[in-house]
Amino acid sequence: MNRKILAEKLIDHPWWVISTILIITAFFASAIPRIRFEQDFEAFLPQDDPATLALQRAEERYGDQKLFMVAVETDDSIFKPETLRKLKEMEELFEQIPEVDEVRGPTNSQVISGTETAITVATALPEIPQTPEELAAYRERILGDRLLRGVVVSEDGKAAGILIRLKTGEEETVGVVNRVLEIAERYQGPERIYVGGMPRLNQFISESMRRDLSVLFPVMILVIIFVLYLSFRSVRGVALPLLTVVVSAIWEMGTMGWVGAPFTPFSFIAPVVLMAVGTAYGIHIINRYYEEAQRDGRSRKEVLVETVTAMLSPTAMAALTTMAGFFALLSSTLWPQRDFGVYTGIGVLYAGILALTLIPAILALLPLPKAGRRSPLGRWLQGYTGLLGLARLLERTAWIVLIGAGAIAVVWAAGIPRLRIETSAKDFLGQGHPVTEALDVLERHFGGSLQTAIEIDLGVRDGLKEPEVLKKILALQEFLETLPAVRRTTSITNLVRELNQKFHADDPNYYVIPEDRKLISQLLLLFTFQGGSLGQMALTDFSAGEVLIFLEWVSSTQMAYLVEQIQQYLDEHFGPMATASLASDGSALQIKAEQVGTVPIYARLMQQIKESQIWSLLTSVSASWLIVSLLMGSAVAGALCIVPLILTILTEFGLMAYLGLPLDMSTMMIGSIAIGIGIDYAIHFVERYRWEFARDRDARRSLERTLTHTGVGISYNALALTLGFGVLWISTFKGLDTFGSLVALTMIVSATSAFTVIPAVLLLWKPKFLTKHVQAP
Amino acid sequence: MRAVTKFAVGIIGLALLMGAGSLHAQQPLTGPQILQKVEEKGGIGGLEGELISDIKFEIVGKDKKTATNEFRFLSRRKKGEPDKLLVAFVKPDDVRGTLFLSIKPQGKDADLWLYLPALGAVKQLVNTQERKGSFAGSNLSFEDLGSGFKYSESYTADEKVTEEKIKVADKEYTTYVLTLRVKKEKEKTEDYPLRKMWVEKSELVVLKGEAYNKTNKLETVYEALALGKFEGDTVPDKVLIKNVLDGSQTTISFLTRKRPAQPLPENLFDPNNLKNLKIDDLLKL
Repeated sequence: MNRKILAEKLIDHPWWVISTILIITAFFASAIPRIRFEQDFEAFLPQDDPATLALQRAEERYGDQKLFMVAVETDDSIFKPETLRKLKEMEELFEQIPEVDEVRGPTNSQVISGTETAITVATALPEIPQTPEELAAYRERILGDRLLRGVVVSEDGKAAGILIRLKTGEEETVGVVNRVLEIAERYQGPERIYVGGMPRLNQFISESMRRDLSVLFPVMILVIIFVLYLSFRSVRGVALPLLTVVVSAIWEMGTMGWVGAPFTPFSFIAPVVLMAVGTAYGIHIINRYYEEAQRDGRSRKEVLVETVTAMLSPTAMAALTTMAGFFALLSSTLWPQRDFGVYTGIGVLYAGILALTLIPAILALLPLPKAGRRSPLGRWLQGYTGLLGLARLLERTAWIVLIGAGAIAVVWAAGIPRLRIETSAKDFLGQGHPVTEALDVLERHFGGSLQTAIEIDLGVRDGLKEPEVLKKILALQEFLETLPAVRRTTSITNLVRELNQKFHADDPNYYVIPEDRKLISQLLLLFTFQGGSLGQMALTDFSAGEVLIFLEWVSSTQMAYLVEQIQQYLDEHFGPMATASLASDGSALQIKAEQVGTVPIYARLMQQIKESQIWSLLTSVSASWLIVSLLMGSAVAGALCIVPLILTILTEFGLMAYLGLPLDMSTMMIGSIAIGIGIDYAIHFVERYRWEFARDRDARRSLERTLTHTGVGISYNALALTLGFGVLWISTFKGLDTFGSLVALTMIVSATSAFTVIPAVLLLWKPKFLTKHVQAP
Repeated sequence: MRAVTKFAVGIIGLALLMGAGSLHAQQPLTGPQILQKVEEKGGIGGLEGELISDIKFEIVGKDKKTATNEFRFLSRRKKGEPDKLLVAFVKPDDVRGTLFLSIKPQGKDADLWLYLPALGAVKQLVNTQERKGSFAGSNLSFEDLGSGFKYSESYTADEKVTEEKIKVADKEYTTYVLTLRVKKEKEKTEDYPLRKMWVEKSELVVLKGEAYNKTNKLETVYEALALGKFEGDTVPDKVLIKNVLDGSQTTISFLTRKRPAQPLPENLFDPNNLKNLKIDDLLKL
């Protein structure tokens, strides 16, 4: 079926088209409530990734691996009856949360003390002290305990920390964190109470995604209305492209709902991005419709058929290339990015289809617009100070434009090697954010806001009770504490040394690993008898345990470095040769030491980003070139269309490098987006130029006509996208704010390149594809 | 953990120490009456006299790893005298010879002593924690084990009881099903506001128990896996205490249960003499 017949059928049956779209929309809308939110970073890696598997195994064996802490900061001291009462009440309230496994704080922690004749195991603070003497005794007791000092009370006594351990397998951590926040809020002031750690971060991300979605959508709609009104100054010019993107966003989200895809911090903006991107198709169709309607003496049907016929090819090409650009994110190993790419790509296809069907169908029911109607912006763009002026300027300066563009490209390209690849939760949220502040407080007072671990697995019962094994673990801890960012470590060696000292009348000389395995066994037996929880320090059969590492929330580069340093040490000191005979009886005993926890996950994420970036860009550019080449029947045309894209990518990455902005999980998607969207400008421009050139083979006139007609549409489109992505500036996430700014910039650069570099090339060189397979108007 | 402990300990106390004769109900009993009779039969203080038991604990942790311990329990309970209990560790070898001694004067907290052979020293254990820990990594606390337990201290049984048939080792028993609710004043210290007990009708042996946590979820289950006879009474020989939420469980097997041939020596329960006690000698008793 040729384009014209298709267009006629569409125009002749508008109600059929509208009803069908309504039914499909209802079908998709019904699935939107099914979409869930997924915010756990460790869930973003492939489930068979070694780092993910190690974390899952550790959680099965030792329970939750994330640090979750409530910090209470004072100006002077926590050792005041009113502050201690608050702490005690909070601990009790946290314990009552069903999903909480264990709460350890300054009042309910276990304190073990020893004398010549007795061992006392006591709750740190059974009753709130009333007298200065009682307060001083408590202060001495808790700050004198190595297992508690710097853990539940800061060294300077100005802050207290309540550690909350969630039950393994509790999926509803967002609800738990909300309850913890509610309790903390109740006790706020004059003490400053912070809730920090990975569950808090995840809760914040989840809540913010919901909040952002509810804010970004209406703001995006307002921005689109503004741009469309500025462009067309008519109800239909505003309503129809807007309706197209709203319906396509419903279809897109409905697809996600039916397929079961969740919103992640990277994919939840897909519908918002789609609304910005999808407006383009409506804009170009309406722009062409008004252009056709200007011509006198034609019927409504003739105008619409001409519009649809002319726009079918560029719209389809633009939609397909944009879709291909987003689909290029399929090469990413991180599924949230793949999801973002796939669903935005599908959404773009929906937007293209809807623009070509819904808009003409509705227009078929409306009278033609009055002749001579143009918005002031449109008139300005078509004038000498606008795009017509640009066309005339380009005719004289084509070489200069090309040389200038080349020089700029070289400058940007030179900066790219400086580009950092980072994923930092702190950067994503921004400084001064409550969650970031909480992380800082945990780092300031409690030796770290992030917890990771090394599992020491001996594979045999009671292996962890061997003195030589414990010494080896202690040496590992001493090494770890020399690494930057690592603030403290803890393992079964801390407990054994502490117990040994307490059982030797609290003599500090006995803060060592005993040489006698039996003594170690008996000390540990006593500990468990008296209610001590070994938690992550050892499994029930003492065949394995974890060394917990508390560190600052450093960037992913530093995390990767840390993981590498630790691995080197483990390979050297825990390999088969290094641990051959550690058992007391001289028998072979091998230690398997493996990094588990969140830090290796972050390190893997960074590595994946690096790999994904290169592949997604290559795939995206290649796919765009291939599609344009096939649809225009010319590899040269394809190559010409990707020139602005390459300039845009160089500008984006070069600028990021010079500004010191890192390439992270969100900004890495910009390349593919820039290609997907930016190619539209080139396609619309080249397609129209080719069409115009086929009329009289005059490059200058073709350029002027192209710029003053399609160029206007492209300008509207670029304006819509720039302002549309600008909406992300109001996102709660600083990372998305940066992302929005960069995409807005790329829109300006790619539109400018399409208006300057492509015309310059076409003026200087008349490629064959301009006259091949082109149907002259 | 205190609640788990108490739940289990009540059962252990019964299993270890019961010896009262069969109680045949003459008329329908109410919940509180049944609970009272259960406790009279083997509650706090349990059976008068001296008892020697060998017990094996098989503990499966949340991590699914297992640990096994064997102990010899030597107890003496006489009216008007403190309850005395000596626990000697038999297995594993690393802790063999470790001793715990509990002396609980009537109506007072128990005094505890510990002897670690590797250290060669006796220490008094002072535990002032509100919530006591586990015995050998199980759900039982040593102090509770030494002092016995009465549910009626913390719970009130519903008047109404139902009857249910349950199976233990393929044999069917008719049981009273008791519902125990925590007393108002104990709400803060008890982890379980609600418990259920299945009490065998003729001899009032507790065959099954359930404990529900503060979110009304079933958390701990007690089950008698095997029953035996001691001095003519039915007693559990093997019990399972399971935390159904985290998957951890303890299986307790009573390997032997006997009266000493000779009265237990007085110095067995003397803290100053703990370091002189030899595990091999204790096993010969």
